[in-house]
Amino acid sequence: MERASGPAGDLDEESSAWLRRLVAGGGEQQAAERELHAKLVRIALAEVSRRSGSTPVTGPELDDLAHQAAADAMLAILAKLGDFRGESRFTTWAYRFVILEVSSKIGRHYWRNPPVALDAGQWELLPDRLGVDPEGHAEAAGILAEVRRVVEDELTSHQRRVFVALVVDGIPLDAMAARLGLGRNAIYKVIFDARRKIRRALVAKGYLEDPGLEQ
Amino acid sequence: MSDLSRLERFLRTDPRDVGCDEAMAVLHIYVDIVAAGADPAERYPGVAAHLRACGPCGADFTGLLAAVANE
Repeated sequence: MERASGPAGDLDEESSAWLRRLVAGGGEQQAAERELHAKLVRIALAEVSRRSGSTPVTGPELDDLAHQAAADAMLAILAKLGDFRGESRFTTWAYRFVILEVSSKIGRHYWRNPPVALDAGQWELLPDRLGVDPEGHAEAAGILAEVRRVVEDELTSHQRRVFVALVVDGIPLDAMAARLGLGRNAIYKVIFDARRKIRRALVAKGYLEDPGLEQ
Repeated sequence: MSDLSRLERFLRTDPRDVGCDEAMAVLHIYVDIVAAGADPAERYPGVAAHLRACGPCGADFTGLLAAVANE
């Protein structure tokens, strides 16, 4: 694993101050918590605004989501203060919690008003999804047929469902993860493996020339 | 490159790709390296490969970097 090896205890001054204040007790700790929470709210609001064009969640619901993300991140940060090893600035470590909370919550909120149903299977959109123009490339029909053949014949039912949801129907990965109760990595791995299988098949058929970076 | 370039990019898998969990576990360290003007790919080639390929993790990286930059 590509883990950092920096030891704890070699903290910058600002990070040390945060750690000290957040366990100081009394008014000093409360002030630090309020200050950190305010930062998390500001970052969450900026992040949902940045992502507003790529999610069906809008308006007040998006603001509520940001405040929920900040509150949940705050709880997680306080619970995991002991895990902070000083490998980054404290604030960068803390902000990661709120960014990941925003991602996760946007994925879950997707299903409140989804623009496309699960298992819709809009195969007619595949050319556009993959950037393969049937009128602009002589072999497009064969390529698209081979992609579909691999999906239908070589993937398991779970892999096929995930591939169709993400690649064919354009459902966000985090939304699919939330729907299936899986982690993001589990969904990514399915797509990663499907990409390798499809690439192998297209190379075998002569549509692509090399195996790329595949192992 | 031909008009299959998008398909080529989508299907290309990098064996160094560490996946979402490992990339997110060090995202704060990775972002601080970027914010300091250094190249995190030297220390974390598998994370760099993952962030190039995974849209959601790439979005989290961009968001965290923006949060740090706007401090």
